[in-house]
Amino acid sequence: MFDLENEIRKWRKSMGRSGNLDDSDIAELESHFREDVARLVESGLDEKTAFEEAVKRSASSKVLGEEYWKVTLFEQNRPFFAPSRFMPALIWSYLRLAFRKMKRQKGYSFINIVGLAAGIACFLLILLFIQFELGYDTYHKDVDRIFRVESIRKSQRGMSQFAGAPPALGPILKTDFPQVEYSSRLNHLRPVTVTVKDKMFKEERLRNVEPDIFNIFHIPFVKGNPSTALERSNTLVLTETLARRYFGDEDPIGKSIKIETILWRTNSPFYEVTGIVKDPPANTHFKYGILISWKTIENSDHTTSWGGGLTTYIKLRKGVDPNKFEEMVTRVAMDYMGEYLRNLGSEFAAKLTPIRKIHLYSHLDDELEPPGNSLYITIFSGIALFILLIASLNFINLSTARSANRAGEVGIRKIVGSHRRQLIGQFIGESTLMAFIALVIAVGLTLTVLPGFNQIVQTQYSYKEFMKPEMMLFYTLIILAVGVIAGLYPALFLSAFKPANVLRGALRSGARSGRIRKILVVVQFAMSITLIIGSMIFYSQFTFMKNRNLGINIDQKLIIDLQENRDRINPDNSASIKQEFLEFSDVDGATFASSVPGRWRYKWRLWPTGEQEDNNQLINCMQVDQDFLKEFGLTIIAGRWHDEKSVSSRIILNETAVKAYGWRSTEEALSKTFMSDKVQVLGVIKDYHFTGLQNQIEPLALFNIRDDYVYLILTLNTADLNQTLSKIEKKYQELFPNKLYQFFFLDEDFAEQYRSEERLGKIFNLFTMLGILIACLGLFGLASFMAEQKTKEIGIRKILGASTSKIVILLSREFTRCVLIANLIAWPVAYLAAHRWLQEFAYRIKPGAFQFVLSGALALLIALITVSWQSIKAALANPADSLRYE
Amino acid sequence: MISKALVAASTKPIILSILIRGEDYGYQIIHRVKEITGGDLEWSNNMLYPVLKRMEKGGLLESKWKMSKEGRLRKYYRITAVGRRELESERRQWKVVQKAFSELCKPLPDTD
Repeated sequence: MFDLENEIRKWRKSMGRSGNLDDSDIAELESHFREDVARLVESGLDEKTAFEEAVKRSASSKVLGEEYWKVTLFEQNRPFFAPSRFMPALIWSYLRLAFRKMKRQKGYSFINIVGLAAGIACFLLILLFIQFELGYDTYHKDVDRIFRVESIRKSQRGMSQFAGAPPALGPILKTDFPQVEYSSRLNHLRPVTVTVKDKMFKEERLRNVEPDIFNIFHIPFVKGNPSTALERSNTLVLTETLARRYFGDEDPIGKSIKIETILWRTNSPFYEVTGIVKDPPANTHFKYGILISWKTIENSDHTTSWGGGLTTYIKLRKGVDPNKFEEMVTRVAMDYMGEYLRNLGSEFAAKLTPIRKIHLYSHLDDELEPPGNSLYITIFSGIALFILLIASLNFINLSTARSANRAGEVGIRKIVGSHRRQLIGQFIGESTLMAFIALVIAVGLTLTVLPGFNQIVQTQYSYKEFMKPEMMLFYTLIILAVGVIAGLYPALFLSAFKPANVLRGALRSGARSGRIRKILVVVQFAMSITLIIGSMIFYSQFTFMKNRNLGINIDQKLIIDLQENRDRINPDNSASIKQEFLEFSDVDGATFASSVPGRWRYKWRLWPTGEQEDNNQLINCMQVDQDFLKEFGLTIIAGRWHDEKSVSSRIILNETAVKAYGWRSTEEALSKTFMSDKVQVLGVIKDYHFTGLQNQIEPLALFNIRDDYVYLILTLNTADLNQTLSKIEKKYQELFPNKLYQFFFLDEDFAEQYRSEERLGKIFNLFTMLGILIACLGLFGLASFMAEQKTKEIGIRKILGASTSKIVILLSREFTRCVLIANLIAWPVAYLAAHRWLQEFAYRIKPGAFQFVLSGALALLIALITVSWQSIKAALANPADSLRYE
Repeated sequence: MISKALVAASTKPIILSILIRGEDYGYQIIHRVKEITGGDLEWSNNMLYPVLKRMEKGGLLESKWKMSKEGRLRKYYRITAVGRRELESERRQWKVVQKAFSELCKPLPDTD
């Protein structure tokens, strides 16, 4: 008897066999099945036939199973043949593999990581330098509203700009302009002697300031009250450093300091300390040691006239347009000074310079501090980028080269189901890991060399600079950039392999990536050669400046600074003072002067009598005595030199002055007079450099007026310098009791003008060497890789009779070609850069072919030495060893 | 006969179109299709169920077991909001195809 329920139970069981149907699925299918059977029975079939018909109609469990399986698969949204995308275990495996690989290929990993680390370290250091330079004066509150009021003077002969504004303009800025929130003038004092309780100190940065200065600049007080500190006459504020130097642990407030200046002799020389402020940071153009109240000098001519200039700072109110304000100040100032200017035949215009621009972009004659140079920012940014690029290219190159050896690994990974995406991720991850290690080393390296770097660059950076949040961002960027770029190429290249080809050995050695590698080597060397040429030209220009004949003999000159004693030297006693020193057998000569080469001179506008009004020239003026010519070895080319007598009516000009006035010959100059016939031209001397070679020689006039001598110049001829110096010092103390003895050697002092160039030269050299070193490190790695690749080729060649030297040449040839091509790229780049840099100097070398060829040759030599280590090793290897395994 | 590819492509919109008129169960859906097409489109008996299951997982449908008057357990399917949107988009697509066909099926103009 046919039992339908029993048959259906069996059918249900068979459905469950495929394993892909769950109970609910089977229940639904059963419901359908029963429906079908019921309809068939209704249509007249018996139960058995109906059942058989229904089974026939429904799909088999196997087919249904597959259908249902697809449903479960699509639920995960990926085809059945693909493994899951995210496998945490794999990442662990990648990491382990990466570390294992680094361990196994120690040399390569070392080169790769250390090279990159050194590159990043250089980059970080240069970055610090650039940050420092760009950060000048940015720490003041509302720095964008703080300006220096400068003046432009226009006359028919041209235009000149001064960092100072007319002294009388200061108070008007306050009273007539509601746009000005605060303003302060500043009077810069020459270096003076400060006496504290019988101890004498030489101080350089004394400034008279108005009380508003504390509202304009960020000058935090340690003691005292900013709003009252400089209210009274003869009060001053000290920096912490000076307070400690003068008073040690005592409280300086209310104590007295003696400062003697010639500027306001009538005032009392005693000053009361009313405040202590923090030292100024290194990156400000406004440095100070002692700030003296304006009241002290308030009514002197110096601060109330429309002539001359005083540095003037203002802070504008919010929303004031500095350009419009400039025009208004110009108009108002012209109203006040109209008559004065008409007499001079000139016009005045005010100019506002934002204080944050002063350091890099303002190069006026009367700057408070030696300015920076934005060109050097460009140069060093370039170097930083070069070095980072060289290091990154190394990294990329070596990673690519090495990755070819991993074709096998890629093949296997692909066969067991690696995604291309996964492979790319793996490679990029690996290089990112290495970049990360390199960065950690780089930061460590930077911190280690930081003290040395600070010394060379004369900065005070601390490790804190490297922990700033923006640096963290930068680190991340570098890691990602280098990691991704270095990993990307091998990743894309290798992951595209067909596993079958790779495993069959069709793709060995990454031969295809050879060309790109070569291009990268060329780029690297082009940059290195550019750097070498740069530092060579830097060096040539520097030695040129140091060794150039200045037209004046500055050797063996001891200069005694007499600024403090100017009132004690007069026409009557100057000869006898000189005699006191000349009595020493090791002093060959002595002469007085108001300035020496490299030191400050005053400038006068001189009109030749009877010439047109506008033929006046700004002339550098100096007082000298009759021995100046002899002692400095100058040459008279027309007329004659000063007599012994001190006369105010005769001057000696230099050739440039004669040219500036437009006279046809030096002889013509002898017939000229100045100041309505009062001053007569006595002679003309050959030009000599009285400033560093950055500057053109300017017109110069030498007077023989013996009332403003600043320096006593002694020509020494001694075997025992120390003894001579102590004798001279003793004599000085005898002649000028209780005065500070200060001296310097002229050649050293003159060379000070090149200090910033020297400093930059040192940095440049340092980074050039590092850049080359990094490039070589990369080349070394690459060469060893090539030698390894060609082991078999070399073995066979040797067996066939190639000599060692031939094989060395074979291996070096390729790199030689790269370096030669690099030269062709580097030369024009270096030439343009050097040409631009040399424009900074009035007297400069011409970059010769010599420097270029030599640099190229040097680079080639370095490259060959680097490569030869590997190629000689490869060439000497026993072919039996290299071929044994084939 | 309708080709396998076309059946595969049309299954989903047809199911959605049937269910938008009201809930239904598998057996009935197959019958409806057969009726509408006069037997030209006959879905194999229970190949429908995996498709229904997939659509349910995809959120186009929801289902409920119900006891019928005859005392049979049936799994009833109902269209969801997502299903309605899906049908909307399917209809647009089919209209495009349909339009293309009806344009192309017009008799060719006489050419001399």
